[in-house]
Amino acid sequence: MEQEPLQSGKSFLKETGQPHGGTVFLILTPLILCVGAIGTGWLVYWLPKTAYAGSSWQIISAVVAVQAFLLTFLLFLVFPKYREFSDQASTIIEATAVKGERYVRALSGSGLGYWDLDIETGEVFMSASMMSMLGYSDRDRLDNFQFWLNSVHPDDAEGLKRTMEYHIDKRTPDYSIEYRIKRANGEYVWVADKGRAITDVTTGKTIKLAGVTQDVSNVKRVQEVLESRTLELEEAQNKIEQEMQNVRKFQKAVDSSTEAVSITTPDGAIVYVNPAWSALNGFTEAEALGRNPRLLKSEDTKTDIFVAMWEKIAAGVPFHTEDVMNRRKDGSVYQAELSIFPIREGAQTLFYVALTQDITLRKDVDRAKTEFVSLASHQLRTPLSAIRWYSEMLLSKYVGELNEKQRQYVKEIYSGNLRMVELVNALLNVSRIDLGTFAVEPEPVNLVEICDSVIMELTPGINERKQTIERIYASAPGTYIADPKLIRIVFQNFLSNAVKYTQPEGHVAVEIATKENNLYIRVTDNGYGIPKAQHSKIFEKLFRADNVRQKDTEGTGLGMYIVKAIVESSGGKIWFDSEENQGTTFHVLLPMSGMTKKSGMKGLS
Amino acid sequence: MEEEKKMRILILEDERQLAKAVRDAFTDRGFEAIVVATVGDGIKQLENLKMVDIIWLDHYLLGAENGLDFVVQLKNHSSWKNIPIFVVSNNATTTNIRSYIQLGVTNYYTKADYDISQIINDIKYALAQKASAQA
Repeated sequence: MEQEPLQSGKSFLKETGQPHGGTVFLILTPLILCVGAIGTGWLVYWLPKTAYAGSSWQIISAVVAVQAFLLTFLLFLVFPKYREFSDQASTIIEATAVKGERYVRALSGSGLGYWDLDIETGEVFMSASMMSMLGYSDRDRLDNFQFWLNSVHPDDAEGLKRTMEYHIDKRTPDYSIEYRIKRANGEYVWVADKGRAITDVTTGKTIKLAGVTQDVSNVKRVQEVLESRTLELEEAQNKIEQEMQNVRKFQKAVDSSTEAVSITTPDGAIVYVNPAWSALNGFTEAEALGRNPRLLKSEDTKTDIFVAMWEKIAAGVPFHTEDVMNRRKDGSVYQAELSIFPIREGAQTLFYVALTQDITLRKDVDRAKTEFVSLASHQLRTPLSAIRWYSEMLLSKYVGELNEKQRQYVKEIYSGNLRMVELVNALLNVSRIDLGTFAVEPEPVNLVEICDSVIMELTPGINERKQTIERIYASAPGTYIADPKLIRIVFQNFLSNAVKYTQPEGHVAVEIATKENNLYIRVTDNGYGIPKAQHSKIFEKLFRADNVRQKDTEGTGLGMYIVKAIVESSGGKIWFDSEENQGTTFHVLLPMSGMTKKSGMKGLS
Repeated sequence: MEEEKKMRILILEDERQLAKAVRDAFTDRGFEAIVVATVGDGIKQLENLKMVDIIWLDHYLLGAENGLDFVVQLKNHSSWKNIPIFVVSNNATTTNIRSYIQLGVTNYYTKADYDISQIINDIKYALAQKASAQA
């Protein structure tokens, strides 16, 4: 292994120390020179007086020559030692220079700048690499500390000074700080200093602070990016945690819901059921997961319900029904209210959420109530008939003349009874609709005739209110297959409402037409209209709009419910436009093929 | 002046209140009205009276048999099968009404929806048709 040149120099010095003989040479040379000079002087003085006066110059020359010989001898004795030492020294110097150069190269290669600060004088030495880092010419520079401080970013200068002072006061083991410093072009770079105080060995006083500076702007930039990324990640994590919390919240809610909830993938595998679902259907979660919801299917469900269901949910629209019959694990069947909500992302369905409720009891209660209404209405008919007939007979010529007042009163009884009969009939119709027992008995009918006969019945009222009625029959079909009673109920309700809920001198129009292979019926008035807020309730049972309730007390609130049921049971559509105080238009579309026969216990009356 | 022969109507109606109203209405208009409340009594009256011109029939009657049973018996009887029958009921089902029509009754009415005079007018019209057909 090659020994470090500096190391070898140091070890050489240690091993050999300074060469011997130098001191002897330094002492002996003047001694020899002095003794020689004095001796020569004395000889010059003394010899002429002696017998050797004749050969004085030879003797003196000989003495000087001895002197010179002695000195030369000494010189030759010491010189090689010094020569050797000088050789060693130059090796060391060379090694030091090489080492220094290596450091310089290392400094410039590493991008480190070297500096030292003389604490006493405030002079700062900055290496060429340091200067070039700051964008100055690539040369060492000696300058005042103020230059440095001026270059430091104003926000960081105080911190830098304090950190230096702390270290100089030995309160910190190292001097280490990051700060921004201005480059020659005026832009700031992030740099990191590392340094150490240099102490005078003898006084123990800190005299210098030396260290290196590194351009860490890249690191800083990366750090900043990392920080912002970290921040983003933290935010994302927070969001995820929040979402997780939401999910947990909803999961808890769904888990503890009393309504049976199941989640199914689009290809029909159950991926979640809540405890209520298991309790309702008798299948445990483990038994249900992965299976198709068909495991609840019973033959009691009409197949067209599933057709309608797929049509809706495949289109991403929620589906609702009360007519599904589900089979439990133990084989028992219950009537279910089923709502399916497709959960979508864009055009893709992720899964279906299904809510199921056992409505067997509710349906039974509903049915019992409807049956009660039906029964009660039937029972009411007999006493109503009695009132009708006796009041009729009182008004007839056969029992003698009543006086005018008596006649008026009996007429009121008679017309009051008629209202009651109408109400009972409407209630019976509703109960037949609700029980699904109403019959449809289609036959070819002339719609124009039926409509005209309804108008005929209403004519006294129309005349009394001086209203005009417009009939648009231009494209009416000659015959149409319909239950005459049902279609009559439709016209009767539309037209009597239009007349009743239109001011005197108002206008009513009725249209029967063929439209896009459908039968189209329209009844328009320019009357009171329906308040916007109550549009959604128009077809509800026993609903009457606020504005007409104040004008007319006689409506039952059952008419439009019945009309809608008739239209929809015939595969038709009903809708309306209405604006309060502007008027109302009802539209009906029925399939051109006509109504389909449906056997039932009772027709509507 | 010979008095016009009184038309005879057999009324099968079990509700006392309604039976009285119907009987009075017909009597007022010059009919001879006989009221019974069961199918059995109705048959008995037919046997006793030999002939009635018209029958007013409720569906639900006292006793086990209803209006349909009565119509079936009449239609199976050679001398009674042509008597016009007007079914006037409040509670007959669609199926029952269809059965009545199929069995050949003249008409069906829901009581609460009609004045007696409307029904009597129809009956008079039917009797006039029948008389002109026989003449």
